Amino acid sequence: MLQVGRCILLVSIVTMAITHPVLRAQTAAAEGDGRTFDFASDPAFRDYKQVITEFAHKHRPNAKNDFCISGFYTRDNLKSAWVIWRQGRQMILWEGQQNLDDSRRDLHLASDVVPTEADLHGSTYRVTKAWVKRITAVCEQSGVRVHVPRGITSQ
Amino acid sequence: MIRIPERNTDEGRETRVFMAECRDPEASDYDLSDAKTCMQWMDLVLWNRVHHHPKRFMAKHATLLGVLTAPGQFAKFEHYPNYSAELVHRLQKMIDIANNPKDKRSSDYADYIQAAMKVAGAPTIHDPSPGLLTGWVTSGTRSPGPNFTLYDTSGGNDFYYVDKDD
Repeated sequence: MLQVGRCILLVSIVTMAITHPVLRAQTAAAEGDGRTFDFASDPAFRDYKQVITEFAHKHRPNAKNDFCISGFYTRDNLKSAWVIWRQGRQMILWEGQQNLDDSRRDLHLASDVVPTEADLHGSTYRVTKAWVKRITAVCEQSGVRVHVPRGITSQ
Repeated sequence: MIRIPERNTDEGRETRVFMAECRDPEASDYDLSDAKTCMQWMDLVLWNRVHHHPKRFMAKHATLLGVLTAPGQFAKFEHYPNYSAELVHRLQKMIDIANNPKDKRSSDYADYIQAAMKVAGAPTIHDPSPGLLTGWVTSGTRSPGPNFTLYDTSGGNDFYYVDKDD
């Protein structure tokens, strides 16, 4: 985690690029049951640009960061989303928190992914390559992409 | 003033797992009753693993600590009683909010943490599944392995059981 010194002023000139062709933030289901929700109109998720930007500027302020968000309803009908952070190689569960660091599940693609289901051995958090591939494909196809340019710092 | 049990006790271990893994008050669809069910089922999963073939779940010892520190089983708990700075910070933040009456979230967090402590200190519930409840995953991911059957969802987690004869 990057530490920002007290004498460094992070000037947040953010020009968010939403690369999805339609601003309406409806995504295909990350879970695969077809149920989706609309980020842009949901009170808990509509500030996604701000949440993502603050996270990016905290963890990787001196470089560009790219995210893809894919929302879904859980089996018990609750709203969640996977935030795929390309440069950080992480998949972060977002349940509407104002701070992504409060997530209860962040998957590190370098260490938390196993080849097959048989390699899970009952793991409560590891995922298979096939699952990552599927969620990533869904997000690339119909998720919301957020590009956060590098922050500008000055002494 | 809320203080969670010492980390080197089973109650302390479980309290931290429940707080880390169940959907907490920061989530938009948080519900205390649902969180309590999640915690009770997690308690059952942990002790079922202790009492039924712990090696199957990569545990070296048939103890709660052995199950909890089994490689690749519980995120950020593999080296318990040492665990990640991120998780330490997140759990401490919950406790701080609960203990700050000026924070409007205080009562929600206090209830959540007290629920975790209560479940950790209570006897394990009767297994509601048709088999042995031995797994959970974050809702929206995948099964914990080939021999697991989905039981139900609570607190943002899908719970799975294995056949008793497995």
